[in-house]
Amino acid sequence: VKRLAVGLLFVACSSTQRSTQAQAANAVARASNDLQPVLLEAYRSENEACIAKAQSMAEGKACFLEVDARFDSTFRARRALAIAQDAWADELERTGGTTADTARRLVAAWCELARVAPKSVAVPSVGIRCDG
Amino acid sequence: MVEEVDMEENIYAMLSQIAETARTIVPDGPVQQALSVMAVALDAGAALARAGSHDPAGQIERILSDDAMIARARDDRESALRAKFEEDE
Repeated sequence: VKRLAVGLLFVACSSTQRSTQAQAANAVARASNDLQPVLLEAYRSENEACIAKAQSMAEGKACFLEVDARFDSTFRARRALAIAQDAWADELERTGGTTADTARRLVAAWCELARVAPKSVAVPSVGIRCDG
Repeated sequence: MVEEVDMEENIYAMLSQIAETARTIVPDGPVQQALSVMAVALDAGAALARAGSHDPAGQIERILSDDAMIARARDDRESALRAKFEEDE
């Protein structure tokens, strides 16, 4: 515990802390932004499949609703991640540091996105562990 | 420059190890919360240091909104569906 306290103190006092966290915040934004076209392409592709197989307008619309149900949780998770990453970046830009709450929200939002993303969309690794 | 990156990597490796050890022995609480800050920054920071990334000058990048693109995709699908069945008629 003593060594841990020294480690935490070191991080708190390190001149590279802001730099490291800014790099991490950028990495999260880039990974999520890289995911955007892939996610939207998958969404478009599923909608096109609905149109191709629909035998009527009603059938097509019903299929669209099923696609929306599959993707809405992912779109919501990306919105939540954007809010959490904004808060993290704002805090870093304003104070040069991050509170545990802000980091925890960011981790939770990232892990939710990784959890709900469709199987066809590979969520890149940003070094955040979601296993507990 | 190379020396600087090596030194940073050593620091990341050392602190990652502390974070990893602490993660397994410290129950949920303030220390665990502080570790979550470290874990995010260290893991991503170490990967970036290895890739030779540098401190972003100026503003930190933000996540783009999907809303406009989702709205466009929904408009497009409605038009395409309508076109398919209007053609059939």
